[in-house]
Amino acid sequence: MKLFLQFGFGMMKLSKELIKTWGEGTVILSPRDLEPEQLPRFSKELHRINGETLLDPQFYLPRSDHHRLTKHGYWPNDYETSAFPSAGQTEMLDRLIELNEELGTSHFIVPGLRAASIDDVWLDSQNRFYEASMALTNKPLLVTICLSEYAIRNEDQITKLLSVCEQLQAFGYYLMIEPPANSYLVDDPIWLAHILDLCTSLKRQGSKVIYGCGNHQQLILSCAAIDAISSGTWLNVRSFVPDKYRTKIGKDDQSRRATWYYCPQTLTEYKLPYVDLAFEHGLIEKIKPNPSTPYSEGLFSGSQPSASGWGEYEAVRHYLCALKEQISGAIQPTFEGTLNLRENHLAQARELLTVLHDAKIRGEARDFWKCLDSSEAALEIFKKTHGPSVKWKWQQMISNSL
Amino acid sequence: MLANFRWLPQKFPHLTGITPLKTGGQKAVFRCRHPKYGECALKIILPGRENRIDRELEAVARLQQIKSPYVPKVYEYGIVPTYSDRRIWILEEFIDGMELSDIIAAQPLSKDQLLQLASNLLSIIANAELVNVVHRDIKPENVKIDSNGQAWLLDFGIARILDLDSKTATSDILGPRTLGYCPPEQLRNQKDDISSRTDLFAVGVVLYESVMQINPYLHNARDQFETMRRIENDAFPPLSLPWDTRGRFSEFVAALTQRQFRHRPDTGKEALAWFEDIKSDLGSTT
Repeated sequence: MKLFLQFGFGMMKLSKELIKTWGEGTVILSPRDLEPEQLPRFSKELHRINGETLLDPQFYLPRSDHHRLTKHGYWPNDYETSAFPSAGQTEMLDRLIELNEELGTSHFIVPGLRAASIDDVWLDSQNRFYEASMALTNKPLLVTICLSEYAIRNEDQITKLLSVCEQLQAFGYYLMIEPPANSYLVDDPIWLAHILDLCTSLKRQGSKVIYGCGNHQQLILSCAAIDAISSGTWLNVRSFVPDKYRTKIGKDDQSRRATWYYCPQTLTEYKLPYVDLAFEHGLIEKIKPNPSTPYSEGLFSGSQPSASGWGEYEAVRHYLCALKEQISGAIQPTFEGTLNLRENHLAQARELLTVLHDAKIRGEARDFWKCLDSSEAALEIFKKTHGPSVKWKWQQMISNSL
Repeated sequence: MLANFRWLPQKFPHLTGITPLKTGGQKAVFRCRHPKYGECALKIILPGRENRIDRELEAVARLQQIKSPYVPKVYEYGIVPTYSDRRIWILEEFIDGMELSDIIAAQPLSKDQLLQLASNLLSIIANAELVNVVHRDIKPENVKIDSNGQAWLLDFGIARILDLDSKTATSDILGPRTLGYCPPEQLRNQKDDISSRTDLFAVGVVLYESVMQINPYLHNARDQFETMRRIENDAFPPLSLPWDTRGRFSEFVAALTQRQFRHRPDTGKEALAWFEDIKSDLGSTT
C-alpha cells in the first residue's frame, strides 16, 4: 500500500520536496487548485524528479461554478443541454485524454459524478463515462466512485454498485467518499464498515483501489489490501468535502490554519499547547513519534516544544512522512499479520490515550479516542463477513497491487 | 399414480419395468430399464407454459454439458405428446443410493463422509459454473450417497442457466427455492445476483446440517415467515468440530453461508480450491 499526495492548496513546493526526499511518489493533480497553464509545468517538474502524476478531473458536481475548475479546457460549457450525454461527453473526454497525454499521467482517472444515492441514472452515467473512455484511450482506467454519506451507509446500494462493478471488471477505482457531516475523523462504525466492505469487494474482484482524500483513519483499509491512500496537507484533501468543488469558499483554508502535531502511535493530532502540556507532565516520550521523521525532531529537542520554532511547515511534512511510514508497513505477508497489526495499533492507541487523557492532554476535534470503538467495530464486522475469504485470497490480493 | 401415465409403455416401448419413484408438482419420476443404458430414471415434466418448451429443452441440453462424474448423465430427452398436452421427457442415469436426508436423520456424518460430501458438491458446482448452470435447489433430499460413499447431486428442475432468459417472472417477489437452503438473493428473486455463489450458500447449510442434524433456519421455526426472517437477518451459527482443530473447516462453512453473496467465495472453482487445501491440511485421504 502506498501513500499518494492529494494535491491541494499550497502543495507545489511541498510535493516536489517530498518526492525528492522519497526518491519517488505519485501526486494526484487537482485542477481546482492549479491554473490550466500550471498543470503541465508542474507535472513536468514532478516527472523530472522521478515522480508520477494522475489527474483527478473533479467532475463530482458538474454544475459547479468554481472559478478555477471551470477555467480548464475539458470542463463542459453547458452540462444542462441534452447533448451532453453524447457529443458533450465525448468532447469532454477527448480533451481530458489530451490533457492526460500532455501531463504524462500513468493512468486515466475516468470522471464520475457524486452519487447522492446509487440509482439507475447514476449507474448509467458511470457506465457511459467508462465505455466512452475505453474507446478513447489505451491508458489503464481508474473509475471514479464518488459517494455521498447516504449512499455509502446503505448496504443495498453498495450491493447494487458492486454487482455493476463485477460486470465492468475495470482496471481500478478511485474512491471519493463523503464523511458524515463533513467530519474529518469519523466515529460512525457503519460508514467505516461499508468503506472496508466496498474496498475489499473491489479488490476481490481483481481491481486496484485508490482511496482519495484519505487520512490516517483509513489505515484499516490495509486489511482490504487496497493499493493507495491519497492524502495531503489541509483537511479538505484529507477527507472528501464536496462543497469545495461547488464554488470558491472564502479565502480557502489558510485562514483556519493551526499547527497540529500528528502522533502516529495514538493516531491523534495535538495543537502545540497540548504538546507543551505533555512536556510539563513528563509524558513527552509517550507522544514522540516512533520512528521519528526528519521533520519532527525539532519539536522534541528537549526544550519547551512550542518554543522550538516548529511550525506549519514542519507539521504538514511530518504528517505526510509519518503517514507514509505507517501506510508502507501496513500490509503484511499474511492476512492475520495485517489484521493483528491494526488491532494492536488501536489497542496501543487506546492505552496511550488513556494515560494522556488522565493528564488532560487531548487532541480536541482531532483526538482519535472517539474513533477507536468505531474502528474496532468496523474491523469486527469485516472479520466476520469478508475475513475468511480474504484470508484465503490474501496472497492473490496483495500480489495484484498497483 | 400410474393411472395418469397409462400411456407411458406405449410411448416408450423400448423401456421395461417402469415403476414410479416420485411424483409432485409438475414432475413424475420413474425407474425403468433401457436395453442399452441399463437402469435409468425417466422424468416426465409438464412445462409451466407451452410456449416455453423450446427454452426448457435448451436448458436440458445445457445440463448435458456439465462434466461431473457426480451428476447423473442425461442419455436422451425430447417431447412426448399425450392426449391433453405435450410433456418433456428426460432419460437419465439411475443412481442407486440413499438420500442424504435419510442418512443424517439417523446419525451425523463422520469426518470422512462430510469431507467427501463437500468435495463432491463443490466439484459439481465448479463444473456447473463452467457451463453457466446454477442448481438453485441443493438440499439433503436432492443428494444421494451411493454404495461407494460418493455424493451425487440430483434434480436440476429449477436450475438457472445464466446466459438464457430466466424461467421466472422478474416481477415475482419471491424466487423459486426451498426455504432453509436458499440465500437472501434467491429468496428475494434478485435474478441478476444469482450465480454459483447461490449454490455455495446451500452447500454450506447442507454441510452444517450433515453434522449438526438441524437446519438453523428451519429448526423450531414457527412458520415459513420465521424462516425467511432468519435467512434475511440472522448470522449463521458457527460450526465447531473436534477434528477441525485449526478451525479452518468451520471458517470455510462460515464463508459459504454469508448472507451477502459478495462475502462468500467468488466462484465455485475458488471454493473448491480452498476446500482442497483445507482437506489436505486435515490429512484426509478421501
